[in-house]
Amino acid sequence: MAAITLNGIRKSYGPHTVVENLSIDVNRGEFLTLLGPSGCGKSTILRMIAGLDSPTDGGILFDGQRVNDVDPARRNVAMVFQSYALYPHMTVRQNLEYPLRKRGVPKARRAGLVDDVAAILRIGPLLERRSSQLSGGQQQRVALGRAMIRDPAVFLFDEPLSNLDATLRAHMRAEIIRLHLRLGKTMVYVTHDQIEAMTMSTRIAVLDGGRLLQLGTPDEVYARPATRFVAGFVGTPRMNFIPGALVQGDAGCVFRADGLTLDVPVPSLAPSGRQVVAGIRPQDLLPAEGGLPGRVTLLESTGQEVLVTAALGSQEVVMRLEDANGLRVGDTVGLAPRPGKLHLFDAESGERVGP
Amino acid sequence: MPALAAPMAGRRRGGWSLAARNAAFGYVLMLPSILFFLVLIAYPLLQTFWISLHRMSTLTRQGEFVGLANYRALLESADFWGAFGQSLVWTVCCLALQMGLGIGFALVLNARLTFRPAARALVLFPYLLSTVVAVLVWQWLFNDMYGYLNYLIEEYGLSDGPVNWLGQSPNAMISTILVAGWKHFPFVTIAVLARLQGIPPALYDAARIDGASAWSRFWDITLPQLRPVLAMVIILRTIWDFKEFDLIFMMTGGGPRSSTETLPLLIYKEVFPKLSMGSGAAIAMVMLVIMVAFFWVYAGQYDREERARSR
Ligand SMILES: Nc1ncnc2c1ncn2[C@@H]1O[C@H](COP(=O)(O)OP(=O)(O)O)[C@@H](O)[C@H]1O
Ligand SMILES: [Mg+2]
Repeated sequence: MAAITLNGIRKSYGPHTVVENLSIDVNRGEFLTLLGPSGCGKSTILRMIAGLDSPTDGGILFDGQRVNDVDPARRNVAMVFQSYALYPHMTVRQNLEYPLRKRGVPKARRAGLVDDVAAILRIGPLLERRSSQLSGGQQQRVALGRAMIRDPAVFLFDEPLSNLDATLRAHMRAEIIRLHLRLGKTMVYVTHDQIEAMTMSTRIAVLDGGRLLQLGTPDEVYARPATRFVAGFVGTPRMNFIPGALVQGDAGCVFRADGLTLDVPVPSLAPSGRQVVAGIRPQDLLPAEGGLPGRVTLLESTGQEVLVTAALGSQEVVMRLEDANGLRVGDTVGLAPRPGKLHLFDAESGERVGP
Repeated sequence: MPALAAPMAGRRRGGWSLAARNAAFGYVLMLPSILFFLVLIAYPLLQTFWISLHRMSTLTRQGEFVGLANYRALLESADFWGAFGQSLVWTVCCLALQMGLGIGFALVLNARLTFRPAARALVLFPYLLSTVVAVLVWQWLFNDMYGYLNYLIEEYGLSDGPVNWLGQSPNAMISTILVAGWKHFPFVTIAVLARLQGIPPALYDAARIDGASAWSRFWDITLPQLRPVLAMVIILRTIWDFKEFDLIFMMTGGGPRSSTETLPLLIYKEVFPKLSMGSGAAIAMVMLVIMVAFFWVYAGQYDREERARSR
């Protein structure tokens, strides 16, 4: 177990800066997820923690010790790769043993450790198979096993589930959560899948364009997204965004949507005329008498819920209902945000406005 | 359903099933290859074997049937055993040199180098050069009177006098092997480089994290990944080196005193200067048997190892 500190990390490839002034403290035993769209620098950050790449600037500390110049082998980290990176010409047993062999663990002890890991991951029957002959899910397990077997201080995962089908992904997600509970090791997990981030993490670091946008627990990130980007990235279906301004209403400050007769009181803010974007999650948009008139353009039912897409003036919003209540495409429905569930972001900077 | 099935059944031509028709089409497609094989490989082979059973003049192509007499004479001939030994030395040394240089250059070219595209083009140069030109250039470099190598040696005082590169044994063999290594290593480089670039970089990342040194990464990842391509390259280069003729013939003509005379050169000597076509053909048949035996053992070994690995 180790605490990891990223201290003002910058990484550039020639003129391209892919990670900018990144500072994160990963607590001991924490499951921290780096969440962001493809190309935002997540793998680069993880590789710098592993020691596979060096930061251009800034320090990486393990338990307060600077490790910038420490070889990956000596950082006591294990990594699971998106492609699994199993050694294709070796058997499963040889793959599991490899990190032990390279550390000079004696043969008898190696065999015992392989058996332990194989039992935990239920890959015993596969041990003598060549790793290239395994299915994706089996390879995934072996890759986990190869990471576990050395009992490293830190686990690093680079989108380990993205090559699996949906059922297996959900299953392995649970498996990794259990692994974290069982081992209690510090884990840094990279994904572009917000569901994985929400379900697995102690904390989530949301990244875009190489910059840290928000660092917080899943609940914090979901309930109080720090920027419009975070709000749009976390949560399915996606949050609805409606542009407008903060103006003086009948009883204090209101959000007034552009071109719509939607006023939502936001008493805690000043009616400065500031241009903002309001965000409303689909489940926080309710059908209401006298609400904004939306024309239903699409109904998608999953059996347990219905997603209603409605045109509001020139833009579409999505509403999530438990059942359609006889709603049909073409109907007009009144829409109103659930009180207190409006998120406001500055129209220019995207920063959160207000509480 | 029956309404549909009836007209379909009616379309079966000549009562042939679909599978039989596909198979027949397959045979038709194979026909050209079978013909090529018969005309270009089987016929000359049988013809050579037939000639080797005769005492035949190269000029008249006439001669009496002597059975295995040519083969018996070979086994008793010092020339044959000399050439056999030289062929062995030649093939093994050329192969080792070409593999070493070839793999080495491939590893260098696979590294991230700024001049990589230029270097990759340059490395092909010896392979593209015609053998005649290559030999002329090297003979000039090797020349004992005015050659560039001896000039260098004298300049830096590396040896007492000029080195007789080609006119003395075993220098001639060594020099010729060096030229063959230089000439043919690019083939190995290109084949190995193509494979190296297909090795997933994540394997090396994983190995670094697992604690493998640069040397173990080469040994545990690169080499096993190269195995299939190396197996193929070794087969091809062995065959080509074993039957190399023009390069040795032009460099040394087999001399001095037959010290670089390999089996192909011996065949030439039998067939042309000595006009003894039958014994030339007999040597050619022996070479074929050696190659087939080598191939058999080598391929069998490779197969066994592959099977052992995949179990
Ligand atoms: N070796 C490299 N050389 C140049 N650019 C790179 C290199 N590795 C990554 N990048 C760039 O850095 C950015 C971030 O990449 P990466 O960390 O892989 O993103 P992610 O894992 O979030 O998808 C990308 O734009 C990518 O093109
Ligand atoms: Mg990535």
